[in-house]
Amino acid sequence: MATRTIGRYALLTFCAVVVFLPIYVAVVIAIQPAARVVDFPGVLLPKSLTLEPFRNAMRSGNLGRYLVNSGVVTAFIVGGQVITSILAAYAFAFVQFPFKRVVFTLFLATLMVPAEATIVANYETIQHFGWLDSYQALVMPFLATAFGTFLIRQAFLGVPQDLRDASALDGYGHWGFLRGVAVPLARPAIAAFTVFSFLLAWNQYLWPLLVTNDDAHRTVQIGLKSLAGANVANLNLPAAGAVIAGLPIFFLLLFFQRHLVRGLTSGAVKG
Amino acid sequence: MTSTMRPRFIALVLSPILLAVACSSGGSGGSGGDSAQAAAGQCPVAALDKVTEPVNITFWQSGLSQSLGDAIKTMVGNYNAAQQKVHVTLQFQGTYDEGSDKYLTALRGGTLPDLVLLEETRLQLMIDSKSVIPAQACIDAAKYDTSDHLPAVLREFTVDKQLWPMPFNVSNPVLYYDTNDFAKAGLDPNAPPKTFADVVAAAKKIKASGAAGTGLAWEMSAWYFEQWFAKAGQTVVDHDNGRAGRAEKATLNNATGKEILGFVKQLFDEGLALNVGRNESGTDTLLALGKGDAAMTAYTSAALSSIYDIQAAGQFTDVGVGVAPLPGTDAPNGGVQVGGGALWLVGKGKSDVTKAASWDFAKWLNEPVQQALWSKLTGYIPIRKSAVTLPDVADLWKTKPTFRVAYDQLAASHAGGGPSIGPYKEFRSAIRDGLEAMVLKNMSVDDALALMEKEANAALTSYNERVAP
Repeated sequence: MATRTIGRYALLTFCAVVVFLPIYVAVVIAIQPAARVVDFPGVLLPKSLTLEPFRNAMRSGNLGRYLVNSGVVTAFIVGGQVITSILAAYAFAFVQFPFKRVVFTLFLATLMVPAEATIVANYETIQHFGWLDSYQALVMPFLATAFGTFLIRQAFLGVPQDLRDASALDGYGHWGFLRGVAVPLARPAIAAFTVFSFLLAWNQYLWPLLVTNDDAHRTVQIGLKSLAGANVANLNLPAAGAVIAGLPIFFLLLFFQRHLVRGLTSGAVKG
Repeated sequence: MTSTMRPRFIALVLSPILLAVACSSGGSGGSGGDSAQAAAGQCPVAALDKVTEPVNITFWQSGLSQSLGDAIKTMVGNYNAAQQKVHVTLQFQGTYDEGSDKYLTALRGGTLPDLVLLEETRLQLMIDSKSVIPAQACIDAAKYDTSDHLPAVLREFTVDKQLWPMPFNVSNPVLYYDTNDFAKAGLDPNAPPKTFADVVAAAKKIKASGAAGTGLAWEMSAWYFEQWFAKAGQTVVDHDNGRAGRAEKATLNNATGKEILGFVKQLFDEGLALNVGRNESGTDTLLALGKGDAAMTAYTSAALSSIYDIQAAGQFTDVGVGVAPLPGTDAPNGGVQVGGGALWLVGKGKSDVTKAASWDFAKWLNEPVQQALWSKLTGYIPIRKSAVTLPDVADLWKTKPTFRVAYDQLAASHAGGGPSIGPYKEFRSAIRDGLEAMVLKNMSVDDALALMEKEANAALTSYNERVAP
């Protein structure tokens, strides 16, 4: 028994190190002068700390403004995706309509189309609307997602029939049942999807690069790219930028961790 | 890392397709640019004389990140402060690949910049985009004198006797070597290798003496392969590297190709080279020198500034920085070719004053004073002969003579321009596939060359069918 516990902890420790090491390396490179970076493995034990790389990254990559833009764009995308996914999932889970299975299959099939295949068509649409260099251009193409709909629909399907009957007897319509019963019960799945949606929206690069030119709408990943280069003498600059750009995700995970773990284990205890 | 890799992969596959689509839909996509298109070949240089308030132009730069990005910001700031007629807005568009893909996408009716900086490999793609004014038109209209420009630089960007973009940031490949390792191995640090045989001989001595792990750090790159053809006075595609008509076939499978691959194969067969792979980080070959794993490598001259930066910061101080012309087989009509970026004047849908303003800025960036400053800020080679007598360059060369090696090498080059081909990325993949098959899978020299030609010809044919049927 004891050896099994030790074994488990050893495995967990190993996995934690593997996951944590790149983050650790980014942080220690970011807080040291550039010259230390090529001093491997000495660089892993930080000394002569400095915040200079962060200042330079903020200035050179224009990260201040870009972080605000990323925040706005991400908030709208996540909000939009969560709302449309919940509504669509509700329809697919609880509402009866003709050809439901066919429609749902078609809906899911869009998951198979890679984003790269639609990028030029989306560009033409956005350009046609005159939306280049605007928040709409960054948000609109991403307001609906088959993945979120699927995930939340599966959670909705787990809502017991008895609850639906009970809420119908209490006079709840679709709207009341959705808000009062279905959404609270599917909260772990919705939380997991929120985090996922946030990550994708926050990390977008190619699309924002394509449809924006001015600083007023560009996002943080474009700023990061301007910091990345082949000059080893400046490696702490992109590292500092990456740490700054990664902070919102870090806090998001801290905040949602409880829900995420529940989301992962909720299937295990069912039934 | 994967997030940066994916767009690059897409660029590699997509750009010729984007272009083909952009060209075919050009007729309907234009937004009132018909009259401008009719006059696309002309350069209204005098239009700027009459303006009363500043003309705003947009300048897309890609590929210049980090300190290079800061340097181009400085240059634009200087220009805006130095005169009142034109105001330049600088916009960063990612890597060279992403910048050119964005341009090709924007051709489909989006917002095109007025001036765009792109890598030399995009030459034919941009000509085929039919959206730019050749700089030659402005040069002719303004009677602009190009005799002070390095001839090799002009040749690189000249197709069918027209200079297409204005050159700007230029580098070329040199041999970096550790002079201390050379001394330890009993080699003369002041007599670096000049030929393939010299490199092999030096590598043997270095390895035998233990001065470094092995002789040469090698990256799987097509660039040096192309450069060795150029040094030998040979083209890599037909029709004079696509300069005198559209290139249709690769010209790799010949004596020059055999000599180059034979050299590479010998290095690896005898354990005289260290393969660092594709060197995606751009630092692996130089780090191998720093760590003593190898004593020589070929790399871009543009890296020299950062090498000194690192040493000044106290790292790798035991390396004696030696820079020499790229070794290889020389021919009277040969020499190295330019790598780097050039400024394209966009014509499609642009007004006369805008075109004139773009030309004015491009011309300004080519002034000897600006080229000297640019060279000092970045380590790129000044493209004007008179720039090297100015203090910014002359002082640097006095204290660090290694900086002049790449300039002298390019000034002495008689090579024509590199391949002017649309599917440049695919062409380079073809060469790299051959190199990798030979080094990693032990393919013979002949088979590797045949493989390169087959893949390269397929890429050329496919592009030509789509763009110029």
